[in-house]
Amino acid sequence: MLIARRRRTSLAMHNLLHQPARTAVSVLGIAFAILLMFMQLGFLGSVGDTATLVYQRTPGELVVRSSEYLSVYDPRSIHASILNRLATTPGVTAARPLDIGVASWQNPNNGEFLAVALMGIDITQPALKLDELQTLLPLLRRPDHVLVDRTSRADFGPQNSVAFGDNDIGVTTEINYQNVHITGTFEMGTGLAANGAVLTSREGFRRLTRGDGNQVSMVFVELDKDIEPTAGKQAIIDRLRLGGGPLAHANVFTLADAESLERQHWYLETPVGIIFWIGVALAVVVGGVICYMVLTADVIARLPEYATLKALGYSTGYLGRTLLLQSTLLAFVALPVATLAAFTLFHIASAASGLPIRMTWQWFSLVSTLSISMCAIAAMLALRKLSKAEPASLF
Amino acid sequence: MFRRTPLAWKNLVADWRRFALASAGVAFAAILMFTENGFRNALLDSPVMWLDLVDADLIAVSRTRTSLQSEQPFPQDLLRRAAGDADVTVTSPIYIERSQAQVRVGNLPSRPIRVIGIESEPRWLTTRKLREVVSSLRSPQTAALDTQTRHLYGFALEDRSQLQKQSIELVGKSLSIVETVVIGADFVNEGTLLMSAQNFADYFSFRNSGQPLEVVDLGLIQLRAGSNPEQVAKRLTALAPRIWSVKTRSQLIQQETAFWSGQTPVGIIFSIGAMMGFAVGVIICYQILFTSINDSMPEFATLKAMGYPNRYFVLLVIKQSIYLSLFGFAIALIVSLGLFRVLEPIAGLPMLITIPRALFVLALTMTMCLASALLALRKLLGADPASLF
Repeated sequence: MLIARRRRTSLAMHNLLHQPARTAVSVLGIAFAILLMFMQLGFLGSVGDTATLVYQRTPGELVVRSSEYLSVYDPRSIHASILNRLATTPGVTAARPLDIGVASWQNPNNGEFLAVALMGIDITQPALKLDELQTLLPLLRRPDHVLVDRTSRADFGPQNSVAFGDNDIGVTTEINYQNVHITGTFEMGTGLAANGAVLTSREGFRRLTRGDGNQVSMVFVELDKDIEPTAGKQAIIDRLRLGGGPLAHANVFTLADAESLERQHWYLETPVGIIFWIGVALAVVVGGVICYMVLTADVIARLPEYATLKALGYSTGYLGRTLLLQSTLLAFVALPVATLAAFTLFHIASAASGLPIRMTWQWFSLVSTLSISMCAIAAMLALRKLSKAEPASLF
Repeated sequence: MFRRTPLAWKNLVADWRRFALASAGVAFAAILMFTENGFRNALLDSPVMWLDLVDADLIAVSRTRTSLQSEQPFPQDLLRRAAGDADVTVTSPIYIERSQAQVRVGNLPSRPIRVIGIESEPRWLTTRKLREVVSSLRSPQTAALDTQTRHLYGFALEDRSQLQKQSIELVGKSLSIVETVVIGADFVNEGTLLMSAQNFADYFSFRNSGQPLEVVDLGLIQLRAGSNPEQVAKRLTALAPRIWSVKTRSQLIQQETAFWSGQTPVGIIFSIGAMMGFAVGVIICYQILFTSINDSMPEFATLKAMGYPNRYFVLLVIKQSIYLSLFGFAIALIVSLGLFRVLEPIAGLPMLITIPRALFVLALTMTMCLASALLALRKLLGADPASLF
């Protein structure tokens, strides 16, 4: 048995090494199919990553938000008295408000208007996790002070026409037709929903959105170290129900749930997400077709050899296992090639589109599974060609 | 020349099954290009689709409007002044609200929807059906719903009588849907309500500090026959160059397309997708043609030994690949037309194949077939006849 297996391996290997140039072409073909999957998944992932940026950068374990919440940039609002109610719930160590919405930003260079994500934080208890935050808070003392995200696209009008930075400090422009002064920059990341982001204080947010000040978009809750998020969530829900009024309808989610809900919203409910899913499906089909073509071409080329083996008494099963092994080997060689190429392309596509496109372990394992099974299925389909390998007819 | 056997054609059809498979392979690559290009075009088409419904020579927009989706109105007065121009016959205002226009169906959460207000006798609408619909929107608190509106809203799109009974609120006031129209959703707008300017003013009375109809989002301008649209557009823009800009239809489409393809990351991503479709096509075609040439190698070798020059084989393979690309393309076109009908409602965007787009894919298909044929041919050209058997 052991010997048989070793022989099989050597036949598959030998087939692959016999014509290295040809094998290289096959590997490239399959690697390309795998690369295609990586690219589409990378694009899809960047949609999800940028849509959930806010939830990745907020402190605490839970988020409390309106039952009317649509998406992170259209979160609606709840009455600000919820802050007090949350802060007095046992087990809650902090309840930090965050205001968020889309506003119209005027490019200070050419006067054009663009949609920008506008966030308002309470400077005494900011609901953001940023390394530089402590140095930034003093810059938001006045309501007309704003900080601009350094990753905002160049269309937003940085002084050097490339990216916002220290040059832009002191520039005055308009948000929602009201004057604001840029007092600094921060880095949070932007994406498909908004190409630029601006941070201000809650007072600044209220001024720019003409809000009444009694509303808050979302509240991020930090729990005692020894309280499980799910238990804390239930405690807050109970407490809100008990208080009654409109606040009883507020939704409470753990940050992880909120993040995955947001991803689902973008993946399944927006045209961009849906189109990338179709792209992933197409890439899998294309990959399967390329693998099939590579393998059948190989089978046909070696048909006389296989016929000889059959005539020597080797079973079709043996030949089938050889082919399967051969296809798996191809997939295993193609995978690192494709992964390396994907890293490079992600880098280029990130730079071109201004979106973070990254490789994740999930994508890597999904693509590995898909490509190995794709090659295996292609091998089984190519097997049918082997039934043609009738010894007599081939000589 | 004319006595020569049509070897390219005979080679292709010698084995019908194989020919079908090869055509299917090429078709597959072409379908992929159709789809990737289709997605990209859906992005670029959807914001300007509504222009098809409108018979206007010029369209006026606010100077500060970066794309048709941003919300920047201009004073109605400008449109009135434009109507005084000797070449202008009719001007009509279009009012649009989006972020303020919260609609709620039943007990579902409210969502923003695009609300378009137009005057009640719009002669500029291109279809009579639409003109009839609009004239039936005169009663207060009525509107027509775009049938392309996404299901997220909860409208009973399939059942007209159910739709009329649904409890619907727009900015907190009740609204009944009395008609349906086809306008089209896009990347930004998930649904559309169409109503008379009067009703629009009732729902959005807070607009423009209480004078909702004194600011206009789009101005439609019709010109006297024989006038030069570009010149008139320039002249009208000059009325208030800092506030508005008057464009011809093609200028507007061009500007919008440039915005979506260049300024947004989505446009760039789909361009990358379309390029990958082409690359996949080359790989698939190369595989097909390589196998085909490889199989005919003994025959080619015989011909080569008989003294046929390399030029003959190059022409042969070129012809063969052109035949193959034509067959593959024809299949792909039919399949894509069907596929797009399936994808359109899933993606919620217009997926159109126009003649220039089909020709573009045909050109790509032929290029990739030729490129891969020539790649596949290298082995034959360099070979010594004896070694080919």
